[in-house]
Amino acid sequence: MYGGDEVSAIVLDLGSHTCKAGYAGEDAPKAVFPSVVGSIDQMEVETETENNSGPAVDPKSNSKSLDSDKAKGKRKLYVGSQALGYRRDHMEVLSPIKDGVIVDWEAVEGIWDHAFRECLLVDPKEHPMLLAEPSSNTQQQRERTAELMFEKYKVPALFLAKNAVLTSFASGRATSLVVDSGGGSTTVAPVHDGYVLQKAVASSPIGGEFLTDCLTKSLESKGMTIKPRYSFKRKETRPGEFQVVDVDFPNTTESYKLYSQRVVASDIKECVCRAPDTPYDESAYSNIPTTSYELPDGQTIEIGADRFKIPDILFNPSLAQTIPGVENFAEIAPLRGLPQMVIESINKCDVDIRRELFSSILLAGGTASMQQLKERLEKDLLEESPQAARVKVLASGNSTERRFSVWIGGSILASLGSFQQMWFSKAEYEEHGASYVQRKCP
Amino acid sequence: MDHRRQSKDSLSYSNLFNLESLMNFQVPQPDDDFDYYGNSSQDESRGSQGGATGNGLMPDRELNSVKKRRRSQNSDYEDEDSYYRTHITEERYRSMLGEHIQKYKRRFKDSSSSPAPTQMGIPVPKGNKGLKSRKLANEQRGGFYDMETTSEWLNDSNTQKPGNHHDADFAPQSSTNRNTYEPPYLDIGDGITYKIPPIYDKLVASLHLPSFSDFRVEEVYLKGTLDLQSLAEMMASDKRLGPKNRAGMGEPQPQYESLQDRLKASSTSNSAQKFSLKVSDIGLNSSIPEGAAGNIKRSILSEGGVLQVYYVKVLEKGDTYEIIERSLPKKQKLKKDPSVTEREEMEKIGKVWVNIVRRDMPKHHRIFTTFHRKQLIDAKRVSENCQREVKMKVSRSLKLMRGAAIRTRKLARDMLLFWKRIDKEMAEVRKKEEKEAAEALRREQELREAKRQQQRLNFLIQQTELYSHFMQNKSSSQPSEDLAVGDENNKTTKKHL
Repeated sequence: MYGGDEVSAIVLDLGSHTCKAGYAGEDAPKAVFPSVVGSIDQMEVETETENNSGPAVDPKSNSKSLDSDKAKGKRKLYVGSQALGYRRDHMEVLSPIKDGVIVDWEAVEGIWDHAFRECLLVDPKEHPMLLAEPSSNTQQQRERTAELMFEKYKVPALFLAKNAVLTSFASGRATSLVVDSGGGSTTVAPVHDGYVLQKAVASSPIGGEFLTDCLTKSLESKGMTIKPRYSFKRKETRPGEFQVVDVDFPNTTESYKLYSQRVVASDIKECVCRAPDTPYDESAYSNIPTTSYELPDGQTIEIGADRFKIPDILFNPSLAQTIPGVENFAEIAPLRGLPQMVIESINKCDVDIRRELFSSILLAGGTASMQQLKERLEKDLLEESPQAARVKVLASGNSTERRFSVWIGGSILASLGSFQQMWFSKAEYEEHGASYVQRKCP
Repeated sequence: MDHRRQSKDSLSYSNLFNLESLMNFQVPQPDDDFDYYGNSSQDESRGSQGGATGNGLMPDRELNSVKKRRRSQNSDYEDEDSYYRTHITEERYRSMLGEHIQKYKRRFKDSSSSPAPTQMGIPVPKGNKGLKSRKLANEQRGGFYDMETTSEWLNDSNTQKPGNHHDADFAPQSSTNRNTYEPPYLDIGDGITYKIPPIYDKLVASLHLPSFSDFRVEEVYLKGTLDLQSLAEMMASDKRLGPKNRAGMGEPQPQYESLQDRLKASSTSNSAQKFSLKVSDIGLNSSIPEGAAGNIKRSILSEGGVLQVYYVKVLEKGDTYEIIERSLPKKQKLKKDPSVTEREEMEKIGKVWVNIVRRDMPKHHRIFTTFHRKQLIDAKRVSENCQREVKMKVSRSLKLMRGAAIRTRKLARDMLLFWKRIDKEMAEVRKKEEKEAAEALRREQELREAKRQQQRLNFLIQQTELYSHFMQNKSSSQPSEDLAVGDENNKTTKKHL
């Protein structure tokens, strides 16, 4: 048991797209930055210096050290929107999370380091840590997380809570159906009495990033290219008049280019996109009034039907096939729209709680803050749900709260007095080992 | 062999009193069975009970105790009835059994570990005690074991059977054996079923028991009534026959050893069948637990509605009441195995979690949201106040700015007026000064004129006077003329000065 009352806990939600970190008890995270890292292999530089410093070294040992370097994978990581905003030669942009599972622990460490040391300016030794984890986190992942937290950061106490549960807490409910549409994926998870009903969790890879890619491809097919911000210089020659000069950086990596493009495209998406009230129909939307958007290079683009088509992919994934560049998407993933996922998930649950789930469907995540998404989902569900069910889709009117609902739930939980006995403390870790986390954190 | 004989005695003793219980259980195969697992522990209990009376060698004392026993037995029968009526579920039975085993293990931990002779050292119980313990066993089995077994009981009652010599090596065997065969059941109504043990012949083969031909029973003991004399005789013969046994008689310990072995065996043997070894637990039940208040058995219905056996001290006894002293059961400190601990911990955490989620979370969420809403409202109010304040300052300065022109104009006018006034004043002053100056000049001129007139006058007068003088002098004398000239000179000098 750990008394975490005195020191405020740190709540950390490492999502597939954004990492949210802040103090428990507050209503919004202090630090929000992309959960990707820029990485530059240090290898080349080092071998160079080696060659310079020691000409006497025979080539054999030299190559050996090079190999060992490669094995170690020594690299320099850049984390945070500022560090990533600056273009560096040979910098690859990597995401530590693939399909909701952490694959690159070194990058995760880098992100945590950044959150603690640079954003919150705290010593992790002094604060209990509440981490949000995906609903389908594996045991090994949890144990690894606990190990890392206790061994490397020496945190005094730790707790792992499921995203869906925290979202449910953010709206003060013990039982709800959480529709979490984030950057990397969309997850529908029923929560009952603070436990995720694992067998009924439905998930699809259609998230904000996929929509952004679709938008980019769709715009490209219409001849509109998005120039990443780093690739040009813009100068005000006369007041109100700008001159754009393209700059060429041959050493820029493809992943960095994609990252920069996505930054722009996701802004377009957030600004102009709106979920259509009825299923998207190419002909009906063909002469819809366009909306203009000014790209960073001063070019103004007009976006018409795509405004509605892109968000509708959430409801009808097969629509993505009509977008050039992502046609083969359907072959990889099963095609299920958001309402189908919701119905399916509810039907997998116990009959007794279905009614309650229908009446408390929570929308969370960045993509869920899309305009009209709530209304559309509610409408679709009303059509497909059984007559007796009272369908109610709940979403905070505040888009910040929608985006950070997982974090806010964590903040509420960690600031709860009676929760303080639930912490998985360092002493317990030392006594029982990492696997104890399975018992302590439901 | 020898203790069997004793048991036989006990049988005859029980004949003396009451064999009701035996009658109640009409076991189809009363013969051909024997106590293959029960005797030792029962003996133990008897031993622990009756050890003090010196193995039945003091008949007079024994007699007393017999009487006493009889009384308590009667009360036991009453209890027994209640036992028969309460049907105890299998789970409960199992849990009780588990408790006993725990108890045993604890107790035996510190007992000495001398090797256990198979038959030696089993204290010879006195008949009545044997009956009593059997009685108890009876009761308990009747209630508890339901359908488990009656075989032990049977074994007890069929005391003609020669004792078994295989205590130690026996238990594991029987337990293993037991796992394989399904005994038939006897239903005697009222939901009470008894397991019918296999016939002895079968057991002989499977358990390496002495066959029928090996049995040696003296007819006298079977037929004749047993009085104290014959008892004494029998004891004497026992002494002759079994000097070996005598040796172990005084020390009840070894039998604990064998029991321990048996317990070990029973714990190693698996599952439900190990319960049939509970011999041990009969012993336990019939023996008075440590820390009991007295040694009279009473079943007391607890508040929870559980009928439990206590050994009590009767302080006062009336027709319809009895004041007793009982020691409350000590909480068992159970040594849990890790999986149980884990499950319990999980349950505890789960309970806390559900509690948090169900009860605290909605409340806290409300507090949280209201707090932050309030904070937001406060912040908004503060910012509004700040804004107002700033606006006020700004508007004030703006007003000043707008008023600047007017004020400068006014200032200029004021200044102009001022200077005008000053100029006017100055002009007046100058005018006055000029006037004064002019006046002064005029006055001076007048003065000078007057002076000049005076001088002229004076001169004229002087001239006239001079002329007159001259004239006068001319006529008169010269001297007067000189004097007049002198006067004239003085005057001119004065004038020049």
